[in-house]
Parts: sequence; C-alpha cells; structure tokens
Amino acid sequence: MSPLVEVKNLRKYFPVIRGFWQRRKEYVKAVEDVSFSIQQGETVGLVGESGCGKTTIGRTILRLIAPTAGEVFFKKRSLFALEDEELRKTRKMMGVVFQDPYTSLNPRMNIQSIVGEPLRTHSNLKGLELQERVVGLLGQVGLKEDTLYRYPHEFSGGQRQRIGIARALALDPEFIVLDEPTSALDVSVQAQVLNLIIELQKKLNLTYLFISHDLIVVNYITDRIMVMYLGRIVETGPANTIFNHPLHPYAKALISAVPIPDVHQQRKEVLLQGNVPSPINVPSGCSFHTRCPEMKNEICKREVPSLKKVDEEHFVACHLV
Amino acid sequence: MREILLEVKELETHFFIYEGIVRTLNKIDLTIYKEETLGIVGETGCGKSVTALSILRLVPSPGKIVGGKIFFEGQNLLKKKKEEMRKIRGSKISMIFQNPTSSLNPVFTVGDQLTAVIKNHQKVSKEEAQKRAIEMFKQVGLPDPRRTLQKYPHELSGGMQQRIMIAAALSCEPSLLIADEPTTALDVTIQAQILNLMEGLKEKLKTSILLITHNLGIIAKICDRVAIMYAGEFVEEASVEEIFENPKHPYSKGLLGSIPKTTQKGELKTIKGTVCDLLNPPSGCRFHARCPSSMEICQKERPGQAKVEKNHFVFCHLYNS
Repeated sequence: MSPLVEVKNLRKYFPVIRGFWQRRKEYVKAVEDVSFSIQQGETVGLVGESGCGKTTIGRTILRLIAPTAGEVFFKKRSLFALEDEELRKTRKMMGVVFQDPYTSLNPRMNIQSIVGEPLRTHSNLKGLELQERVVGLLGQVGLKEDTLYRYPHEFSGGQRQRIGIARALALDPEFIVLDEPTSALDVSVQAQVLNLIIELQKKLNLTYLFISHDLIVVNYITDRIMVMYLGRIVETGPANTIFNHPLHPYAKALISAVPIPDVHQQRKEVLLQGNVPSPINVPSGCSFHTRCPEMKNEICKREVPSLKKVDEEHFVACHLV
Repeated sequence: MREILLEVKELETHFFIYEGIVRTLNKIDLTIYKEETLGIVGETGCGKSVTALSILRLVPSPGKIVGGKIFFEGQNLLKKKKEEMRKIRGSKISMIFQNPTSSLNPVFTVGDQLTAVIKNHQKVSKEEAQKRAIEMFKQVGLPDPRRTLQKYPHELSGGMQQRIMIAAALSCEPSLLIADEPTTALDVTIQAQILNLMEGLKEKLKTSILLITHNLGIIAKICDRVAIMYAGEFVEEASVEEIFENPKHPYSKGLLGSIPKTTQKGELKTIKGTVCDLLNPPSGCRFHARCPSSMEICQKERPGQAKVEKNHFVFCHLYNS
C-alpha cells in the first residue's frame, strides 16, 4: 500500500541577515534532510523541544511555507509541483488545527463565518445550505447551534479549540496536521479535546500528524512517534517502543525528563548538560554530539548518522546503535 | 509532630471589578511545615497564584485581602507594616515566577540585580555582595559565574534566566521559597535540570518550598504533600502517595483521570461542564454542578473538612458523616 503522505529529503532554511550593513547572510536550518511517510488512517506524532523544527515540518507539508529543497507527495502527487488550481483542489483534502486557539480565530468574525470560510472558498454552498452544513460541523465537535452568531472571545479555550477543529473538518479532509492542539489547555479540557480527536478519527477515517512537545499526550494518542533534534529526525518507531525503550541518547534523555504523573513509575533521569545549540551553527557530524552523555567515538564529530533500521518500523540515527 | 512554618487561616482575597466582586479565595486554610515541599495543583484561574501573592501581600489592584490571618514563624503577616513586609520579602520568603524573561529587569545586568537583593537585606559591602553573588551562581550551576554576572538577561537562555531567579531568591537563605509554575515556560530537558536543582538546594539550605503548578507529573516527582484547588477553595490535601493512589474528592478523581496514562490507552475520563464563574459562584460546594455524585446538601452547604486518614483531608459532603 502506498502511503498517504510521503516526505523526501525535506529541507527548510530561513535566511537571517546580519552584520555591518547587513552583509553577512546566515541560515537557520529549521529542517534538515527529513524523510518519512504516513499511512492512511495512522496517527503519527512529531516530538521535540522548542525550536527543533516540528512546526516548520507541519507547515511545509501543507505548503503553507515554501521548502528550500526536497519533495512532499500527497497521494503520490508531488505537492510542490502543483499549479495554483491543482493545489487548491489538493488542499481541500488537508486540514490544520493550530496551537493557540486565542490567536488562530479572527476576533472580528463570528463562528458561522469562521467555520464557513473554507466552504465559501471551496464549495458552492450558500445561504441556508451553508448554515446547515456549519451547524452539522459544530454538532460534530460538540457545540450547539446557538453558537453560530457568537464571536471567539465569548468562548473558553477548550471551546475555541473545538471551533478550530470544526473549521479543519469543513471540507471533509483526509489528512489533518494538529500542531500542539492541546498545549494551551488545562488537563481536564485537554482530555475532552483528545477524546474528540480520537472519536473523529474513528468516525471519519482521518489521518493525523500530531505535533507536540508533551510526550505523555503523544504516547497516548499516536501509533508512531518521530523524535526530532535540531531539524533532524533522530529516532522513529512505534509509540510504545519509543516511550518505553528509546535507543537514541537524545530520545532517552528527553523521555526520561518527562515527569510522570504517578508516584510509583518514577524513572531514573538522564540529565543533559547545557542548552540546545543554535540552529544557525549546527555542530558538525551528529548534531547532538556536544551534549551526548554516551559519545565515545570520533566519528560522531565527523559524520552525520543516517537512520538505521533496528527493528520492524524502528529506526535510529546514531553511530552507537 | 513537624514544626509549622506558615499557617494560613480563613484567608479571603477578593477582586473588585466593574461587574462585581470576584471571590478568588474563599476562606482557605493552608499549613506549610518546615523543610517540606508542598504542591498546589489546580486549573487556570482557580486561585493558585493569588494564594502565593496573598502570602507575600503582593495582590495586584483591584484585588484585596479582605479577611483571614497568615502566620509566618508565629507572626501574623497581615498585621505587618509595609516596611516590615518589605524586609520579609526576599529574605525570609522569596518567590520565583513563571516567566523568567519578564521577571528580570532588561536594563540591568543580572549581577546588579542579584547584588541588589543581597545588599538590601544584609549589611555587606559591595565587594562582599559580589562575592556572594558569584557563590550563588556557582550553586545554581551557572557556567563561568564571573562573566555571567556582567551579562544582561537577553544574553541568557530561558533555563539560565530561571537559574538566576533561583539564585536571587535563595541568596538570603529564606525559610520559604514560593515557586509559581517555575518550569512552565521551559522545555522538558531544561525543566528536569531546574527541578533537580531546586530539590538539591532545598536539602542543602533546609528551605520549605511551596510549588504551584498545573502539571501533576512535577507534583509526583518532587512534592511531599499536595493540596488540590478548585474555584478558589481547597478540595483535598494529602501526601503525594495518598493523592495518586487514593484520591477521595470527585474533582481530584476527575483531574487525575483526565491525564493520559502511560501504560494503557482507551478513552480519557473527563469532568463534564466548565469551571464555574467566580463572579457568581454556585451556592454550597462550588463543584456540585459538575460532580457525578452530587447530593441535595451539596447545593446548600459548603462542605467542611473531613479527615479520611492521618494527614489526608477532604472537603466533601460524601465524607462528612
């Protein structure tokens, strides 16, 4: 079976202009040579610390920002080669839910216009038909009809995120990028939203790319996890394997640092020294070698490790494994 | 019996706004013992931070402490003059805030800010204060303390800034450290470093810590005792083990149930409804409208404290027999 989304050697550099008279041009290497694929109906988690390129990957896949190099195939068609009209048609099949429900909804639009906007752009629905469809969508995310003419500020964080999800569902997409959908929410509200996300997937046969820094949530909701560090994927595999038996030294440290809400399950943590290096001057070789507690070989400083297969679906990019 | 360090009795803090009076803290009682770490957990807007600010008498306008007593080392803080309070803040009780970037002054070097704290509270010369500042920087694990002293906050990363906040807070060896979401703005690996540092320094300086957080994982990791807050009231108070193994209050059960489990999947438990409006709080138990085991009495009377076990208290009519 061919995958729904296939990413090949994706790169995204952001230029930074610096120096006297802005002469020196440098690049923030947000995404560096990333390849992966997502199967139909799967939930894939993308985790890593702030600034590692998670969101950039999410946005480049949707072609919301242009890549520097590489290719993304959606249903076997190269997304970056599509012309405007074709792109618009393809985009109908993809949705996105953003992190901050307070800034991703236009405060001057009421709920009907917000949720109806994709429908007005992509379909011929008008008037009462459009309204009926919007009411249906709101019902799907657990909001009542009387919310139609209200404005975003009248809703709580959880409800706003539901509105964001309704908008993403408007065009019956097959693939949704969820960019930290619950990190602005309280745990009890987060639980409601996570339940909704799972329920919708079952009902509508959706495929998710779930971007988050919260490993407990990612472990809970996804089938497969990809761990990122400084723009590269360092380990990928089934959620349980990654969460319980990570192999890459960074993945080990990251996962051991997560405080587990259970008094009996406390783990021995691997403390990392120092901070994440700047993505402008990425260390040579394995980008983690400057902080790696297990580094022994000189090769780590010289060569970039590639993802190697260690088990069915389990890949690690480390010279030691 | 352990010695009591701080005792809060029937504390009431209200906010007087245009729409009416927000009863943010509704007659709360709280005890902190010497050399313990007490965690306060609760969702956004439940009054965690206001509790901390009330203890230091720093409640911002239009808020006001309208009743109650706060005994610290045997003396009522609410009876102290402004001048006397100023001497206590920073030397006997100090506080670390959520966002280190906004709690450091951007126009002074971190060294100036730290020596200012020391010079304000202790009769020492400038050189002596500098020496102590360097000593503190070493203790919090900042590399190259002498040079760091001359840096401005923007030159340091979030984790380093939080280390400086901790250094400033602990420079006068306070007997109580209030940490209001000290790691919320940080990444997990940095969070682990900071939590470890706080635990180590607590042992060394024999300080009590009041830790405010919404992350139950952090509670499980470093706290001795936990108090759970809901809508301006404490609902349950017990040791960490008791809370996680044997929660009694329906809200505590709901809150713990809504965290994704690391070992099993399946639908998350949720608490129905949304947090009550503190402007018009419901009568009786503030949780009754959302409580799955609500009774008639819950709507009328505010539940008193019931003792479930030694050092395990719950405010719920179900246990008030």
